[in-house]
Amino acid sequence: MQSSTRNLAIGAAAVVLAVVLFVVLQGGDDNDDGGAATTTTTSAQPAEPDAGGGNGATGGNGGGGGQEPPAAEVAKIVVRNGQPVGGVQELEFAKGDTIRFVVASDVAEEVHLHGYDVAKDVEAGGRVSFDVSATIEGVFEVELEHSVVPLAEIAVTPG
Amino acid sequence: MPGGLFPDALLPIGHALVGRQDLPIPEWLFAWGASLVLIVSFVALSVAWHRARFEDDGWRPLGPAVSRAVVNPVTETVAGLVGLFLLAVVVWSGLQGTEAPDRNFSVTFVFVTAWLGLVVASVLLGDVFRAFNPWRAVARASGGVFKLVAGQSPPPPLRYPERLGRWPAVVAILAFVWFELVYGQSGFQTVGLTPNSVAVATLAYTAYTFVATALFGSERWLDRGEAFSVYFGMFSRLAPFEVREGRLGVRKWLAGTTSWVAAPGSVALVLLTIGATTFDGGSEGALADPISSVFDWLRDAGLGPVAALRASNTLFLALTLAFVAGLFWAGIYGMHTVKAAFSTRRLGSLFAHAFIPIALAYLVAHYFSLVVFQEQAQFTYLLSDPLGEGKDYFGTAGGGIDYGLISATAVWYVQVAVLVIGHVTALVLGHDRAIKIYGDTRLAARSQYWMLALMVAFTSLGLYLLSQANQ
Repeated sequence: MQSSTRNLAIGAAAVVLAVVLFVVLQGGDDNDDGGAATTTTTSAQPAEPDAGGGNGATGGNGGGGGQEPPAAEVAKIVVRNGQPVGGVQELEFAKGDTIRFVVASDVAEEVHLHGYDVAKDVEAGGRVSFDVSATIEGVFEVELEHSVVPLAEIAVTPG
Repeated sequence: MPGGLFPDALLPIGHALVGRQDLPIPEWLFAWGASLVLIVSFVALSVAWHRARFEDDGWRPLGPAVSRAVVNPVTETVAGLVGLFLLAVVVWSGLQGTEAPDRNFSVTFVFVTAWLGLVVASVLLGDVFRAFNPWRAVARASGGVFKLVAGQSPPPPLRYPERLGRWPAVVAILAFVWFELVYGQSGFQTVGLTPNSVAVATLAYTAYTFVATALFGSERWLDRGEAFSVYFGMFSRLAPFEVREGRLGVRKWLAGTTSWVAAPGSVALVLLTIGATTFDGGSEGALADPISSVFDWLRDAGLGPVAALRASNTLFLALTLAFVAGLFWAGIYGMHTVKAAFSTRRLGSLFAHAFIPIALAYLVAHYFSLVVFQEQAQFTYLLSDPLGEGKDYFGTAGGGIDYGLISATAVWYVQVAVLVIGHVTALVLGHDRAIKIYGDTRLAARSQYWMLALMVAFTSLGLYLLSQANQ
């Protein structure tokens, strides 16, 4: 008898605890969902500081100033001395959107978007832009194919 | 994310091979997973049964015809030859093939098809690696020849020291894991995990195994020291099939684990498996920042980039293993206060088998998508063009990996479901063992509060790692 009362008590405690935990964690999620929604609608947003930093850094090289408007809309990855300026960028897109970014490189290389398996050559001092329909979910690497240098991580989230 | 010197994407094995990484699980799923874990834990407490159910595995032989169809000299020989052939292909493709890890048969076969695939096969079908083990096949063949020539088998020259238990296997698995997760980290031009290094490591391990089997006798060494026999053997204890004295039989699911941990080193192997997966998952997410800090510090101290990366990863692998072991022993120590009759150490080995399902859940959660993607490569271009030099032996060289095969959502559900199922299974085995050793239901229940806390800790850690993956 006693043990069945105890079992009931434990069961009730479990339900209460689970509901509380779920509400607490979900609550956190709601806030975050809002955040995620804004990042998704302006998918180039998270990349902006990085791209800006990249631009600022190249500004010293001269000639970077005029490129400001496109950099704000499309993520720009600047490669100097074979390395991405400002480190590896993280770009996020929702499934169904278009993965857009531009790579400006001072070395001749092949830029490879893994997973989607899109590769484009870039000349030394040239730029190449990617415009790929985001059909596969996951995290994908953008890499300088020959020197195996990672440039960016593209996250495609379920739409 | 850190920039500057650090090659940011620490690129573990998964990155070297596969073009798609898992998205972190979203918070709502984390919430569901954590809630489910707690609910099932409390339910497990309240429906506690009073008689041990898994301590006797209830093995009974299948019909002689069925058994003979599966286990006979022909199938044994064929399986041994297949294993030996695949070992040879690994060495051949590793030495002769392209140095691109993703285009060479050896890397995918060793680290995905064999290392992960055989875990799945072992859990479902039993100890299949025993049949395909190339080193066992050679040892048996040479033993057979010797017997034919000399008329009798000689006793092995050395007696295996029993107090070593499974420790030689633990050390070798640790070396394997270090090779895969630390030495093999890419991200620089010098990629550690080259097909060539895989072939050389395979040859070295083969030589080591031949020497050891010659010294201690093949059956003894395969049971205790041969890393892969011991590792896959651990997972095969979950399976409902087992061959005993040449006879195939069935037993209760999970029950084979209860007799597994008797030998020294077994606890360490379970914890090593959990710890290695934790490190691999953590280095892609939760641990990425601290690792990069140590890396920068070592670079400033004058270490080269490759040395600094390996040193910082070695440090964090060691810390992760120490953390996992510390967590385990803290929980066991707490349980030890329930009744003084068992030492902490003894309790550790009495309950370690309950953590095998958690180790399995970690592996599946972390590597499920890698296996799904990379096995497509294994059976298309890596099969037809093992050296990556443009051959097309079976007409499948043009195939590739369909990364759209499973959605991110499907991966998430599998990951969370497998952690919850592993958790429940672990609770069941723990409770069962407690009933057996404490006899008294009340003491058993009290000891299980500690066990419960420990398992919730491990499962939550697993969920946390998933929520931080590739961020």
